[in-house]
Amino acid sequence: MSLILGSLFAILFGILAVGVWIGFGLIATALALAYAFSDIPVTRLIPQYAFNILTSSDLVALPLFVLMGEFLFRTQLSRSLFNGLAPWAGLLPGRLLHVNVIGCSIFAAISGSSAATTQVVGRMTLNELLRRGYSPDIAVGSLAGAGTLGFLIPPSTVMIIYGVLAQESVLRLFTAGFIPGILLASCFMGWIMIHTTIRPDLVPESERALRHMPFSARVAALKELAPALFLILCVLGSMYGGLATPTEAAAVGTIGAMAVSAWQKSLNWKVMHEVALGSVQTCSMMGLIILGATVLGNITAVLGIPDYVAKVVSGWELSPFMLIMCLLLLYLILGTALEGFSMIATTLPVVLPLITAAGFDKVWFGIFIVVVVEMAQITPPVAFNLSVIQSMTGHSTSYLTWVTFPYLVIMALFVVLLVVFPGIVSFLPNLLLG
Amino acid sequence: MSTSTGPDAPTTTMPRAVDAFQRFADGLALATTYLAAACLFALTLLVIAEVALGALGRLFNGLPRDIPIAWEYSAYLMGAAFMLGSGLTLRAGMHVRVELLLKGGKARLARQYEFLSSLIGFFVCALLAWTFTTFAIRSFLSNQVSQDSFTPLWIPQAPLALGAIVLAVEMFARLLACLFGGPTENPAFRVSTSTTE
Repeated sequence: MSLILGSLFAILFGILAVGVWIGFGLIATALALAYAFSDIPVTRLIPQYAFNILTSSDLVALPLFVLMGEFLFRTQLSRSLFNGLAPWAGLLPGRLLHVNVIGCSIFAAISGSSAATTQVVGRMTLNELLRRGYSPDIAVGSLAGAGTLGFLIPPSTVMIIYGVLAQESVLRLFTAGFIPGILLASCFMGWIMIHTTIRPDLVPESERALRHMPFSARVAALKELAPALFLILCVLGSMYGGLATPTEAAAVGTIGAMAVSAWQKSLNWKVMHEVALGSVQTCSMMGLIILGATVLGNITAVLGIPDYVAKVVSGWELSPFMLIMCLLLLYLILGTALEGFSMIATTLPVVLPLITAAGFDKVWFGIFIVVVVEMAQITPPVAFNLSVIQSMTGHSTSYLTWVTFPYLVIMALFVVLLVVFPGIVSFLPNLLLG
Repeated sequence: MSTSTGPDAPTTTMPRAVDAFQRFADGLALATTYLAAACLFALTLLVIAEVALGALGRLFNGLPRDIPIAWEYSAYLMGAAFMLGSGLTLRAGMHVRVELLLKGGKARLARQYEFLSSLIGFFVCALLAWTFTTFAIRSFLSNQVSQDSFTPLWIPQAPLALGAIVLAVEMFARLLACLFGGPTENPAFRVSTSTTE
């Protein structure tokens, strides 16, 4: 059995390292293992596995949220978020830097992707912050950190994929993401206040004037947030008003995003064409990874690998805390080379049985893995959120990594907090969904 | 959207037959991508109709509260969209891979890695195309139907097979491009999306 396990890691690592696409690499590994160590009829099983997962109705929310994201990506939402939030953020130490965090939190409650969150919010805030003379160190760093909230605050494409692969309710996962998401956002804001208090030179002196804005002007600015709140109502409102399932909420959100984009006069045939092709490509990209994960997951299960790993690891008699810390380390290492979806897809078949055997709740682990995936988005060399920012500002990856590092540390500490107080995750789903 | 633009435009070193095959593959991939987009569109409409009926059904008694096939068919449409768009996604360079060795190492080594990954990729794609096709044919011959709506199962299975075939054709073109030193990807097919920079 240890031979099979060794082969699994060796083949998977080798194949992925030479650059085979993740989805194909997972299938190739499954094929190699199945032919070498068993006589299961893989050629008959693979199309069945593929058909079952690719036409699983739990997954339908995914293409819809992708489609919605493509519309949002082409709206003027970044400008209205900035204009609505800036007058309020100006009251806090750190001033407009908080627009990054609050803007990302709000956009995360509409969109399911963290790269989209970084891009849409950053498009406006980065220009504006740098023009006003904020230090790029903190303007860029706080955006990269806060952009990762896109996955944690529902809706979330990562949670949909985890939910389908781990057979856990997507609505429960969404609900569980709220409190951790808001807490993490508060931690980021707390750090910005501490950081700018220690180093007042990061924020230009002239920004103190932001404190003296008439209250009525602040209130008036709130109307700029209307499109964003309308979309939140479409998605979260329809879901928690008991009107719709996550899938239906995604469809309502898609129509809402289309309406906002039409209202802002940014909808035309060219945009529709781009939205259609962009969504298809994003969906296909995710679909292939999901397909590969399912095939490998099923084949390893038939071979008995997950049970074996669970037995071996339980033999080490790690405390649950140590186990999670080991996994955190493992994911941090993997996260340097893999992006989030691939990381979940490659590890879940083996890790999930381990986690359930150690007595962890699948919803809790879902939130854990989402935070860890977020960290992977900002750990180079493969870091989606950093490359999004790089394309906007042209900074080097090493610079971006350096200025984002404090936020990475905050997230790692946040994971420890989740381990010590699992109630942060379970409180809301237990309250709302029983 | 043609293959003659951008830095990756076909070089003269490519035999004409190879170039023609690449064009054929791209045409096929583009056509199925539009099919995939149509599936996404239909899927959205179906789910929206389901939501609208649910809401109306609460207001007026007697109206149907849901579309019985909505869940099943939207899932079929999703599967079709996943696979039918896959060929062009490959050509656009949008499928995820680890690029450390491909981009970090020496150019000569990188070309070998590219060839090796395309070879493995082609092997997997060909296997998918073959097994998906026989799977659909078997369902057709044995008249298998779905549990919920008695839909013949070959109907949702066929687009998956078609998508896998197109993917295999694109992968074969990629293999040829590797062999003859041509461009493997065409960024002109890449749409600026929220998930890429």
